[in-house]
Amino acid sequence: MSAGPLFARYAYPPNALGYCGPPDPKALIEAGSPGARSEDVVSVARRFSGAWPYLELIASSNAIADPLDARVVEAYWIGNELLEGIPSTSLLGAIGSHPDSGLGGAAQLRGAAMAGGVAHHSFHVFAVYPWLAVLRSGKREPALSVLERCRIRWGRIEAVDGENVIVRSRPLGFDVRDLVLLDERSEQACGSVGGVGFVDDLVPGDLVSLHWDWVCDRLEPGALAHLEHFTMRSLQAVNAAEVRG
Amino acid sequence: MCMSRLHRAVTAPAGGWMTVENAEGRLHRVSLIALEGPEPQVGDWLVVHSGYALRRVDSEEAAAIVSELRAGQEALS
Repeated sequence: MSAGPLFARYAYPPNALGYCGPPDPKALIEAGSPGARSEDVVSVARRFSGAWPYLELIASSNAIADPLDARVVEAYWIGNELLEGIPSTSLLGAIGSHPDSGLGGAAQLRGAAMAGGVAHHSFHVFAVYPWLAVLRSGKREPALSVLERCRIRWGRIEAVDGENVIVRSRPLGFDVRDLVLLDERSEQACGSVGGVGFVDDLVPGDLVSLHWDWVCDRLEPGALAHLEHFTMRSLQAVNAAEVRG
Repeated sequence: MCMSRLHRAVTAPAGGWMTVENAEGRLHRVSLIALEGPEPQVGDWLVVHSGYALRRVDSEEAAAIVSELRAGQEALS
């Protein structure tokens, strides 16, 4: 898959909710369509000021000129080998000046980066956003729900109900001070709206990725392994981080 | 990905919700369930994330954040 559609299918769900990116979800879909011009994709993607610094970091760390190279976009949303060679200090350097960097506290960010954090979307959700600190302060909701829906998660479709699907997936849980993955349960997700979705012909048994309420992609075993691996790396990093004010 | 932004309250709270405006003039309806302390008033600055108001920001800090956001936007343009 080329970078435009790959970027768009994961960026669309929070964009449609008004949480990030330009105020026009249709522009994102158009920029992500197979016939879109590369400059259109760049102009939209750069306005995702949360994601863009990570794409630049992953690209520059791997001598890839284009932050919207498909391998780079895949590394950020799903994870791949491009993340392995990025030093923690580079991650910290890039994210330390990120617009979101003060949200969860500098100590949490630095601790998680130095405890094995990677330039993956899950790291931003768990280590940069304020919700883990909110959770640890004793306010379980909405913190846990936001963390769960904001991370890219994975699951297996067990039923298709019109445009919605029922997916077996492992939800995020909270144990004393740590984020953990709990046992599988069923959740409903949106496969399409008005016939428009990101993955055609979903059937029970499909392995899929989810972001907010949407099914974003059908995952091959290798992609599933990467998503699980880098999500667990991020969880371990934030759980291991020593947070000192 | 869910960018946080500084928002200014533009309506009085009602039923745990209020309308806020970001630096680009976009209006959002946000929940106040995650916000501690007294309800915000019209004109108050708030940090909002994923549809929730998280904390109040005084005018001095708000000015600093707006300055940082503008610098970031200029760097991206």
